[in-house]
This record gives sequence, structure tokens and C-alpha cells, in this order.
Amino acid sequence: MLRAKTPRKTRNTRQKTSRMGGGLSSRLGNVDWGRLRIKAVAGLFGVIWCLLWMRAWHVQVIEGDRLAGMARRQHVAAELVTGQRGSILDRNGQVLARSVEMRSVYVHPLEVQDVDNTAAVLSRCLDLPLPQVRAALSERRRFAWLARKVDDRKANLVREAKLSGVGLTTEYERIYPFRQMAGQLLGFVGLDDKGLEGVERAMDDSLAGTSTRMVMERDAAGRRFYLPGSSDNDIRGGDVRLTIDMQVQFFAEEALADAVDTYEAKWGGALVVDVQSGDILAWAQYPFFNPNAYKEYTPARWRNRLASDALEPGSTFKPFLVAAGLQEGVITPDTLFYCEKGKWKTRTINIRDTHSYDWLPVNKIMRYSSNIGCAKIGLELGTRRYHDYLVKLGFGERTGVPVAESKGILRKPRDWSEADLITASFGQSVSVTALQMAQGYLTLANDGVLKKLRLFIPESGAQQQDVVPSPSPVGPGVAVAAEPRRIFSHKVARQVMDMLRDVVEEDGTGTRARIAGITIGGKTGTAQKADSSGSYGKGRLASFVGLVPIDRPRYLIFVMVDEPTRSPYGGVVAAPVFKHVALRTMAYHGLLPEPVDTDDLKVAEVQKKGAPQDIRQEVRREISERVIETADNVPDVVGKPVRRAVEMFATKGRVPVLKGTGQTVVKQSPEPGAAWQDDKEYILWLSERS
Amino acid sequence: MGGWLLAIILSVLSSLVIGLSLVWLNIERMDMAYNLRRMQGELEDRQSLKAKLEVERDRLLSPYELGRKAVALGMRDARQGQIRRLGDGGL
Repeated sequence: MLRAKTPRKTRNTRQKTSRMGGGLSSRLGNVDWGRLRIKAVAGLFGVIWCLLWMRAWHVQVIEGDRLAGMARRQHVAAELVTGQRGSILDRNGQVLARSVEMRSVYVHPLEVQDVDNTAAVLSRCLDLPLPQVRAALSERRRFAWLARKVDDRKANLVREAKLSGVGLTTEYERIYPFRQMAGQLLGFVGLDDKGLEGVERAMDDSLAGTSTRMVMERDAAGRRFYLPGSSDNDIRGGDVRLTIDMQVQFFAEEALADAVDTYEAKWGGALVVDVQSGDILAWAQYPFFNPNAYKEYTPARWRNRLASDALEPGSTFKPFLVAAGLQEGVITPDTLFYCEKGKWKTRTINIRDTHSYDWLPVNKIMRYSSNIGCAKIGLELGTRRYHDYLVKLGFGERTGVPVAESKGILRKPRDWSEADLITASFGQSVSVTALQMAQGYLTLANDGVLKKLRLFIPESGAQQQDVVPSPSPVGPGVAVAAEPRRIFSHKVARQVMDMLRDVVEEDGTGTRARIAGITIGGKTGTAQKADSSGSYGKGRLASFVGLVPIDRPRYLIFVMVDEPTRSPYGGVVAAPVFKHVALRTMAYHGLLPEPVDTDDLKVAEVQKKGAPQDIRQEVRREISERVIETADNVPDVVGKPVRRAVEMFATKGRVPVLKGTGQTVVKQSPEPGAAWQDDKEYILWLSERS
Repeated sequence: MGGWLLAIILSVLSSLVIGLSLVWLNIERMDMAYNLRRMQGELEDRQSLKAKLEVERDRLLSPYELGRKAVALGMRDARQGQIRRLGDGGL
């Protein structure tokens, strides 16, 4: 093609050359136009290439950061993620409080296309009044909550409806599966998952999940991608394990509720403490409070009274006075005091006893709970020494159990008048919390060595004995080892224990706390309550503190019932609660002995005159926990009572055939030691003679 | 000259293959990310359901609930002397 054109161009050139004179035409004739065009195209491409490089350079270098930022904003989103709140567990790992995912329904009112239809559907799905939903959808706002923390059924209905402008989001709901059990102790959290009362509040720092900003990659539709390491385990709050045992808690709550209802009292409280470890096994308060629906209750109902209410304890305070007197050598258990025939008018105060007594030794002053006798012991002991012992026992200070706790009222010795000393001797003019009382008795039961109460079990499983839960600066619930501190000698502690035993086991005020087969010790209290004018009114606080068994205390149970109307006495109102809780707690732990056959005791006492108490102890030891043998082979039941023999077979799922009449097994088939066989017939021959 | 040309062609082809592989890997990565996200969602849903079922189980096994059921079935607390504890080899 190029070649075909060349002659024509040459001709034209020649014509021009002939016209212009020939020089220029000869030069142009030498130009290689083809090569020139190629160079021009190459140059053009070169320029375009350079422009592209310049643009790339501009985009990458000059505008690089800005554009990268725009891209990041499109593909990556930062979200504030809050970890799930930790659970609260009892000592056996049962969950007392946990957070579960719930769905909340929200609307973007401006994006709702058909308000009437959407409102009708949502009203049906969420069981909400139609006008309320319509009002929420009609608002001129970008966002509004419609229903928060709805159940899964409702959430699924909303999701399946696929309504424009309506969305679901995840929130955590705090659930207390046992409902009202230990409600006041556990407390509750607000809508924002922050602890507002009880353990939830006290341990909020440990329980609360961490809030962190997480970067999520997302696609053009806004869907988030999975990112390695985006698990929320790291931001989840820690679990808290309490020393509470929910079975014991149940025993305490049930017995307490029964007493409060029966005696028409205002409220009641009970603590069960494991003496060996100081662990609080039950923390009961009635009327109950269900933290799942805390908004339905008044603050008075959810107040943790066992920790926060300081009350005058009354006669349950007397053992501390007597222990202090014994320790100081002011008194012995046999020291006699004249009890003024039940009425004593001092220079400053008049005191009455419920009964008229003349001379009583100290152990009987305790047994009959004589106020006059205790007042005289107090005067012998003196303010300073008595006050010192109360301080050592922890009164006037917080016990260290990390819940919102009152310090009680224990004034300085210089502020005590003689009347204060007298009244403080029988538990008035001092105010103490139930926790302080429990800790005081725990020290007596612990052989006179101070022992701290414990409500939280550290994760590390740290040593239980003599561990003090320390408040700040270490942090609540953190265990710090403390030196055992002896307050009363072994002898004094034993003497006080003996007096407490007499209160229940002899003709004292606490006889309704007796349990057959176990020796109980305790002290009753019937405290006058000050009214709004400051003087003592008709109200009474009935209380009982008991130790079971008293010889080697295993459990300490403190019961208080406030203003019972049908009977004011601690021995009548509170002691039966103790008995009920102690019985069931001992049975639950397999420590409840068989009931003592009184005829056997009488025979034993006749045979060994002179030491009836020892015999009784011996018999009680003998009838300790009975565990049925469940050997792998057929047991030897010859000579055993038929009831016992049948029980032994029944534990292996075999029902023996009984032949003959009588109460004693005289022969058996198969022989003892044979292996159990499903198709074998087991026969027991009975006889009247053993 | 022939050697250079071959090298350039091979380089271009290699770049093309690597580029396509990169695109393919990216598509696979995104696909996997979607799947993982979906499975993560399923896991969370199931964990949530499990937690709710555990809560319900705990509620049904609470002493109050068991006590109510026991009373309804005519049971009562064993009295002192009526309790037998099974040893370790028991049923």
C-alpha cells in the first residue's frame, strides 16, 4: 500500500520541485515518512505512558494516604465490643447468676416504608399495643428502641417478617436461675450490665466484661468478615465463686420464711457458717427478693440487712461478756451473783429479769439469761476491759466480707456511762450486724482463736484457714493470709461452750433447739427495739445463735426474726428455725445420727451409775452416721434384723424372698461372698430367736 | 535478541499467572471468611441457646422447684432415723 502510493507522491514532489526550483523537493524526497510515523506513534505512546506513570505517582505518593484512608473507611469498621459479664457460682459450681444473649428490636423510623403495616406486624410479633408501636415508628428520629431483651420466639418472628427499617441487635440479660434464693445477697445489675446491689455491686470489677474497640473488615454490603482472633473470650468478665451452698441456703430460707409467717414478723435473717473454714454456707433473708424483677421491689426489700443493718443484739451478746470475764479472771463458772429477785434499781437504771432469781452462779446466769447477773459481771469487769474484748472480736469494725457492710455502733470507752456498761453487758447500747455476731461466735467456737468469715472462694483455691478477705487497696475478695490471733484461752472457750450447751440441753431458754442424738449449744436473745423516739418500745428482736454439735462445732447458725407479733421470745421464735436448719444441714452432709432410744440410755445409766453424761456421749458416738454397706458380693446378713438385711439387698437392686416368720435372719441363700447374679433367687430364712 | 524476547514473554506470562492466582486466592479467602463468619454466628447462636437451656435446667432443678414436685408426688422430708446413705459401691 505504501509502495503503491510512493510513485504518486514522487510525481507530486517532482511537479512541486519543478515549480519551486528543485532544492526543497530533493530534501523532502529523501525523508522516510514511514519511519517518521512510527516514531511519532512511539512518541505519543511514550507521552501517554509517562502521563500514566505521573498519575500513578500522584495517586500513590501525593494522594496515597488520603485514598488509603478512604478505602479503609469503606472496608474496615471499628466497633465498641463489651465482653459478657462473668457468672456467680455457689461452692458446688451451680450457677447463681449468668448473662445470656438476648435480642433487642430497634427501628430506624425514617427508613420504614409502610408504617401501618409494619406497626401491625410488630405489634403482633412483640405483643405490644398497636398505638405504642405506631408512635415509635412515626417519630422523626434516626433510631429508636422498640423492645429490649425479648425472648427468642419474638426475635425470630421479627426476623422472619423482614421489615424495612426494623433490626435486631444482641444484648446480654442477667438471669438468676434460682430466682429469689439468696436474692438480697446476690443483688442485681442495671440495664447497662453494671452491678447495682449485693455481690453484683461488690464484685463488679471482677465480674464486668472489658469494653474494647475491635476493628472489623466488612464487604460492600456491610457484612462483617471473620477475623482470626476475634473471639470475645479475652474480654469476658471473670466468674465469682461464693462459699454459699444452695441446698443449705434452701433449708435456711424455708425455715426462716415459715417462722416469719407463723409469728407475723416484719422480716427475718439467718446465716449458716462452716466452723472449720469460716465459710458462709447460707445467707437467708425473708421476705424474699427476686433479682430477675428488681424493679418490682422497693429498696427496703432488696437491702442486704444481714450486712447493712446494725441492731442491738440483746442476750445473744452475753457469752462475749462472760468469756471476757473468765479470761480476765474476774469470774469463774461457779462465781455467785445475787440477782435481786428479778428487779434491780441502780443509781442510773432499772433492770428486770423475766424470772425472779436470788443467787445464781455464772453458768446459770447464762443458762437463764439473767440481765441483772450479767450487769453485775459487767460492773466487775469494767468498761475498758469489756470494750477491749469487743474490739478484738471485731465489733465496731467491718468483718471484711466484701459486701456493703455496716460497722455497727461501738462507742469509745470514754463515752460509756455506768448505765451504758450495764446495758452493754446484756446486749443493749451497742449495735451490731448479723455478720459481726456470727464472727464473734465463730471465734468462740474456734477455741478462742479469731476466725474471719469467708464469702468468696478464690480461684486459686488458696488455703481456707485463717484467710482474711481484704478490702482495698488489694481489692475486694482477694485473700490475704493473716496470723491466727488468740483472744480467749482454750479453757475459757471450753467453759463458754459448756454454758451454751446447758442453755439448750439443760433447763435453759433454748430447749426448743434440741435435736435427738446431737448435743446442741446456743444462746437465745429477745432484744428490745428502740422506736422512732429513741426509747424502747414494744418491738422485739428474737434471735438465736447455735452451734452443732457443741462438743466439736461443725456448723454455726445465727437466726434473727424482727418484731414477731405472736411471741417475742428468741427461744420460741428463732430456736426452732435453728433446729430445722441444723437437722436438714446435718442430714444433707450425712452427719445426722439415728435417734437415741431413751430406753437404751436408761439401761446404760443404770449399769454405769456415776457417769451418766459420759455414757450418753458414748451412746451418741456409737450411733453416729450409718452407711449401708454395698459390697460387690452378697453380704453376710445372718443374725441381722430382717429390715436391715432387706435394706442391704435392696441397695443392690435385689428383693430377697423371705421364708418363715420372725425378725431375725437365721439362714441365707446364696452364701455370703457369692457374686451378685441377675437371674438368681435370694432367700432369707427368718426366726423369732436371734 | 531471541533470548530477550523469550525472557520477556515468560515474565509477562508469569506475571499473568501470579496475578490470576492472587485474584483466585483473594476470592477463596473472601469465600472462606464468609463461611467462617456464618459458622461463627451459628456457634454463637448455639452457645447462647445452650446457656439458656442450662439456665432453664438450673431453674427446674432448684430446691424450691424440686420441693414443689416432691410435695405434688406425695413425698416428704425423711425423718431422723429414716435416712440411709449408700456407700461408694451403691447404686
